[in-house]
Amino acid sequence: MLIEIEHLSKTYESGAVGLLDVSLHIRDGIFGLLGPNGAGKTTLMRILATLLDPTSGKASVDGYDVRRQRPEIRAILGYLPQSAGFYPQLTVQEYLEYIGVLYGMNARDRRRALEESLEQVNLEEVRSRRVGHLSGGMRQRLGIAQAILSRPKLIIVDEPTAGLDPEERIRIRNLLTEIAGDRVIILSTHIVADVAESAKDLALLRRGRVVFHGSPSALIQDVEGKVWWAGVPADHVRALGRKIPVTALERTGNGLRARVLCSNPIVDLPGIPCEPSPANLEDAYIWTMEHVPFPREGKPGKSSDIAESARSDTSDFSQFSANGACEQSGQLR
Amino acid sequence: MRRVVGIAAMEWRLLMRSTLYRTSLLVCWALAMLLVHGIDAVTLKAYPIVRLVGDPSDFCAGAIAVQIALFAPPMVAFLAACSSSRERSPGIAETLLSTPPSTEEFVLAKFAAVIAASMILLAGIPLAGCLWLRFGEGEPVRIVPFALIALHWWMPIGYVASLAFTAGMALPGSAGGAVVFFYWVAVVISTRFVSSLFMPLFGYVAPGYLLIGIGTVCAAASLYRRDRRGSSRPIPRVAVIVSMGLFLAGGVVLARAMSSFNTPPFHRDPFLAFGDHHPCMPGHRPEPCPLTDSFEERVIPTPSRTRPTVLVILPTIPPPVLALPILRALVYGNAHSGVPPVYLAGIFVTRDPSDARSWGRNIDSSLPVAAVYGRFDGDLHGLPAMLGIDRTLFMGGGPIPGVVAAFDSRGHFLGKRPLFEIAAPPSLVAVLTGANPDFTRLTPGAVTVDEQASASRFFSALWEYDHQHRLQP
Repeated sequence: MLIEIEHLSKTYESGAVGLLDVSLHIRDGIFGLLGPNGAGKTTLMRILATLLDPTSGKASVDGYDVRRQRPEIRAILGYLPQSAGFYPQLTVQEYLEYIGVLYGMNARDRRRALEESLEQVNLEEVRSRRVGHLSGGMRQRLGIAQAILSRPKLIIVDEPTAGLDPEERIRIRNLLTEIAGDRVIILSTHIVADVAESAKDLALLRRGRVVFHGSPSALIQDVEGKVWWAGVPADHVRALGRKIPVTALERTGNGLRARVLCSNPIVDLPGIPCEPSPANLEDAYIWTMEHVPFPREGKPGKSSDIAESARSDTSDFSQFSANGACEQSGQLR
Repeated sequence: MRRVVGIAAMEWRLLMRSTLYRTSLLVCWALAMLLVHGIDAVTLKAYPIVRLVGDPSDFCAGAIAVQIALFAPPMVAFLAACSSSRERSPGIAETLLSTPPSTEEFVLAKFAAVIAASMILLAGIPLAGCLWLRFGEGEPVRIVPFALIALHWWMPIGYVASLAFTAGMALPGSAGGAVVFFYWVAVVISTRFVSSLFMPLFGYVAPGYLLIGIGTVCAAASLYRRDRRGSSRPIPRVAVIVSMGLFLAGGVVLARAMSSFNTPPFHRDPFLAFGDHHPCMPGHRPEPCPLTDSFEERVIPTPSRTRPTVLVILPTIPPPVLALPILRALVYGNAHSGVPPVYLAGIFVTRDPSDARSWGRNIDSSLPVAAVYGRFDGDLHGLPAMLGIDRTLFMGGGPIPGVVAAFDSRGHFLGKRPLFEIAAPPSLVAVLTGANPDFTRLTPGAVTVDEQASASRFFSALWEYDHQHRLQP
């Protein structure tokens, strides 16, 4: 199973750019799509789900062209949209039966697939409950159940864990990992941890462009050495945040320590005591979004751009220079 | 096809579970029950509906009830379906669109589901009637024509409504509601104006509804397009319009077929079954007539200066079939109700609003009477022969007060009977033609301009007379 996206662009009638020259190759397993609101994640997924035509470029799913071979793609596609809607009057079982009907499954196959799906998403006990009476987490699981009902080769899930409590989030994350197998699951989310835990490959989108495509570890690797814990006075935290990314704050005995992203704290944080910290995907995401410039016109972003960008980032932090030189290896107070 | 049926079944199930639909179903059926009860109770001098909404001699009471009962089923199914469509978030629309069925399959399935739902609502009317017959004191003859009328009316309204619904269904949120709203506004307007514009050309109301349906679907399509900006899956406008056209064509063919076969539901009537060639008609009536035992003792009326002469005005609401018992009562007399046989001089089929000026306008507008006659031949085929009349005139007009009145040849009032006492909906009037000798000389399909003008004058005079005297017995 391979999804090939070549120079894909989408410009809406209003002139808004949804995607710009996106090229990706997606293989089996969970593929994470990360990016802020309006980055183009949903546009990309809707194009792959054959709900939207691209303006230019090509995309194919398992060899089927998204423009010309929609029925073929839909036959191998399971889709859970961002704001998944359900018929509240139907029971869980009826809803899944309906989806089975839509996929043209006969009664026996439908019943078998329904049982499997319900078991996988752990909704067997509420099969007779009306969808309108399900909790948010159960609805999301039902959405996944309908997406996997026809045993599709490609599953697209848009923000499946948004608004869920941690327990449900973990449950859905694990479920996606479990069903991934030899199929492609495209997982779009704001929640970096979901991708970090489950995706073996990811793409970062910003303003319709891909700014990174690779494995989570590669993305993290690019940010290694740029994550610091910096001790700052409480009243300087906001000023610090305006200057460089602050991904976390911790209260210490005498003040605050901020988890900051900068390539060279001696330059960026003069006089601030800093302690290096291992990077995580969230750091990498923030760094990439903040620092990686748009790639040259006509080319998608590459991970190497991040390092390049980071090297060129020598923003002044003179506000703190009076406090003395940065102690890279020193202990924070 | 299996998939379409499956989707339709599920859509139907969804509709059935709509709270609005269920509530409306009960209300609609209760209304039908009340209406049927009212119709029957009129015979029993009970007038329950009339007591609720007005004077028994006022056609409005019955007309309103009929309109509600007939319009309610498709309207309710329509609104309920749209209501259920509003429950659907864009998310489910996307989910459905990402599945293999094409949009055309969805449209077709939803269309079928709404028709089924509407028919169930509609079935409530005769069902209510049957219940009344079973547990009440109704008469079967009142129920059957009413059910037929309901079907008759539902056909053009229902399928266009369903199509417009289908278009509305495809729209997200308020756009669907807007389409529904526009549709019903258009229908209300059309029942008064649009369809009558097309009547001389095409006949009955279907073309008017077709026009509205096309307009609505086009509007829906454009709204849909705008709503789903950037989507590559706009509603297939051409497919919807073509399918609607096919349905219309089917309806027209069906209507023609029914006309050719003398409207099968009415075949049981031996007169209608034989039409102009009925062996019991004057000139070749065997003694006794084998087909019309119940009428054999009756005398086929002939023009007479001593017998009241009446001109019957039949509105198309209700269709003339409902008036058959009334016409029979007039022509053959009705011993039960004490109505003596009359000479039926003519029949006007009308459909415009109930004002004399519109009648006059129609009469004066040089409508080709023969064409107008042809327009109604599906409904009235065989009627003249059944009634034994040889002067029949059909033209546009409108519902008029529900009174049957008879005058003698000198213009003296002989009596009146509120229509409710004779049959279900009002809007039938019989007036004396003897006051205008010219009018009685009219022959089928050969009405001259002078005769029309004469008829117009006559009619205006009668109308004035009616208003002045209010037909007091």
